[in-house]
Amino acid sequence: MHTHVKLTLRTPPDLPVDAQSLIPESFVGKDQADIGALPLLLGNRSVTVADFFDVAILPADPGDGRTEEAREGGTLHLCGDLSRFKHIGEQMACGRVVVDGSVGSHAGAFMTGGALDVNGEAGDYLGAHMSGGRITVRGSAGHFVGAAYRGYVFGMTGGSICIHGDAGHMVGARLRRGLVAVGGSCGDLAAYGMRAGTVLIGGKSRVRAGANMVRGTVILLTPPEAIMPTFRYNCVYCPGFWPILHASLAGLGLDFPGVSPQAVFESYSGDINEGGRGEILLCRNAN
Amino acid sequence: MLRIVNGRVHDPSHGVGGEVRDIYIQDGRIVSGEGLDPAQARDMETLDAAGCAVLPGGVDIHSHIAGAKVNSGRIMCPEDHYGHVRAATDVTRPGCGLIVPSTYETGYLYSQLGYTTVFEAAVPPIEARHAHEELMDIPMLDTGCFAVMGNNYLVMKVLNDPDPVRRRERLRGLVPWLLRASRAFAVKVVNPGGVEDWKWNAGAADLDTPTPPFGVTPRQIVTGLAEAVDSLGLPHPMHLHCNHLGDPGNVETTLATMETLSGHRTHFTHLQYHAYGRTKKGGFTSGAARLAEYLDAHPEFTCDVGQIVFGNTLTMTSDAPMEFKLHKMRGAKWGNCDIEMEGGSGLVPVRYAPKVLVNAIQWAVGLELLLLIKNPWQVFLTTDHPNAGPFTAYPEIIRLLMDADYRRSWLEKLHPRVRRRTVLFDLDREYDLDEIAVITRAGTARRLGLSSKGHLGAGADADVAVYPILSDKAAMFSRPRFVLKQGELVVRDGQIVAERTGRTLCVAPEGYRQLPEDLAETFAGCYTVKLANYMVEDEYLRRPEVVPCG
Ligand SMILES: [Zn+2]
Repeated sequence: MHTHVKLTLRTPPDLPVDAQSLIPESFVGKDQADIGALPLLLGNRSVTVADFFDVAILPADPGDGRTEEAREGGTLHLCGDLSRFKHIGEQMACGRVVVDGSVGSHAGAFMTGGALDVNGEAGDYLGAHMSGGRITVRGSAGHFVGAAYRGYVFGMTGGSICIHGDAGHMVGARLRRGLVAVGGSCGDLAAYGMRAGTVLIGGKSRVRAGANMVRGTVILLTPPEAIMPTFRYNCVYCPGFWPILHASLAGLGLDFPGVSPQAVFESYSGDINEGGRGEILLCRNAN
Repeated sequence: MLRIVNGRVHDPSHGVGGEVRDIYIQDGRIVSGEGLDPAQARDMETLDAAGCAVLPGGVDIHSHIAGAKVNSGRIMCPEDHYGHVRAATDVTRPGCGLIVPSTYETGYLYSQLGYTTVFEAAVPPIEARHAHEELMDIPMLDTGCFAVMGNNYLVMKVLNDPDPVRRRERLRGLVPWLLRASRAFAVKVVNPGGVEDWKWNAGAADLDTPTPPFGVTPRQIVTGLAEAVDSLGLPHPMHLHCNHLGDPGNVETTLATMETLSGHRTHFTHLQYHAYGRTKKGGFTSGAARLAEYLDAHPEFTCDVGQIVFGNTLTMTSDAPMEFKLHKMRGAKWGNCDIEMEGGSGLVPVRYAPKVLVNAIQWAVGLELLLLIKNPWQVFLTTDHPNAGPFTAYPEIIRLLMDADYRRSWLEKLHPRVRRRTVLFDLDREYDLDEIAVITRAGTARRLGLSSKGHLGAGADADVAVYPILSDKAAMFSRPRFVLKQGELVVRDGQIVAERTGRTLCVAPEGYRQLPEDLAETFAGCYTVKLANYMVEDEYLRRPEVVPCG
């Protein structure tokens, strides 16, 4: 059996809320009172879920049954403007969190499995240090998507993050494994210091994409102003993996009009300061 | 007045080894109970220490708890802070970290192990102001710091003087001036000449390699400074981190240094890192037995071990070239700082693993030193916190020393070849509580020249640690029943119950009041700070206490 819990926010708080308890694991098998008593931190004060949300336990949504994650770990459905709620879905390992509204920073950080779907905007550090599972954001995300916290060698080490809107600076900084795909544009230093993995930016990327990258692939579907001088031009070719990646992104709802599965890419190697084993692929027939 | 009754007192300085005695405390000092009216004794505040061992408060002779490199470590290792968080209580502030804890946390963690005095082991004079600011923020402990001089430009300039009489005289003036400038307690020498050598890209320094820019050799630096420290009668001898730390075969350098310094009081720090032999193929072996033999014959020398603790930690030292090598070897995060005119420093996180042969040998070498050196007054327990491991591992190391069966049980967890490269598993010696008291408080206090610490005689500071006597010595030493700081109960059953501010210990030997003209000119020409801003002022010391020179 699985649980489907729906929390509806009554009034958005004035202070930031630390919502580490909002993961499916803390809801499975609990009754309404138990769920209402789950702790949240409002500013520096302890409060409960019931202080902010109307709690409803629903019969299994037939729609949920379609996703494997929901079958395994239950569904947590959050409704309302949660943009001041931080750490939603942090460290979740299974199940599914659906948010109809926006979430604050650190959503899905350190996530190891399951799915987080945000039908709204996400804050900074979305999926930071995540090692598994998938995150989908219908709107835009803040800075440091899938990145490392300050002082860490590696950021995200697995899983996938798919953002339909735009993203801020340092997308996928210090990425070690996994995929970060941004449909819209992104800020400075995408894939900064990346060790391995894949970062794809559909729209315009600002300065210094791939700076200090060691290995991995940065795919830019829209040509940037300039490629860093520490990248060396290789050739124009049609990467064998592109049709497959194109199809799987389409499966996640990310379509890139004008970029076909047979698109041709310019390949650059770099960052030469770090050994030059990474690559930037620049789409040729994008408009 | 306050008394501690029914406890078994271990006070090796006075030859008291586990007899049941009462300890009386008044105005922060230990007083004699003789002639006390029994009725008066009954009325005073009493702590019952039945079933407990009563020891002087712990004195750590070498740790890294404050200053620029510790702070860089905090910035570099957020994972340490995420992983260890302490919430505030009515008496304590919140804190975080274990390897590089925040300032308050450092005081609490030490106090919860029964330590009451800790020395920060490496402060370049130019960084001293920062170090003192942090030391002032550490509660529960008396502290002090050692001034790093082994790669100091002014020191080397003076040592370059060809006239031996004038050279000695000037060094005798300059060393007190540097100690005063940094409000330090002792003279520390780190990889003499080697750091400067590296900064000039000249390679690793052997004892007789001339160091640019003056061509002074490490041998001249250590003998010059050891002579100066001796003639000034500083309470603590020269605190020396030898050359070639961590290299296989470095025991030869260490022995050569010892031979050079024989006759001078010297403390060799984290000797474990300097006690490696070398196989024909260039691999690591233990050289501990040779050093132990040498120390047994030279009572003027002492050492602390720098015992390896398996797990994650962060190395931080003024030995910048060694850290660079470690960074290249491990590909780990690296922090480096050029301390203008005075040396360098570096930081690299490491993980010591029992199945890695080199780490297993390092671990065994530290224990060998502790077990092979016959006189416990010559070898002290440290982990060179956090270089070889965090100080919070002291109880575990004490268990390894006191329980030979437990020690042997480690053999199967280690790399199999460790058996052939060390003698640790042939040693049956077990420490008793008195010897533990020596290597953790009595011996260190005596070596530091602190006459009011490390013992429980009348007149001593009322820094006392009371541990429940348990068969598991790690459990026993990790949760004291009571800890008293300056006569006040600060820890009960392992929990902080009161916060106390400690004192800063420093020295004031006679020397230059002002730098001579030529040195002042060098200073003005080369430093990025003005001489007037260089000296640490009085307000940077919390409750200073000057320890007299002998
Ligand atoms: Zn040290």
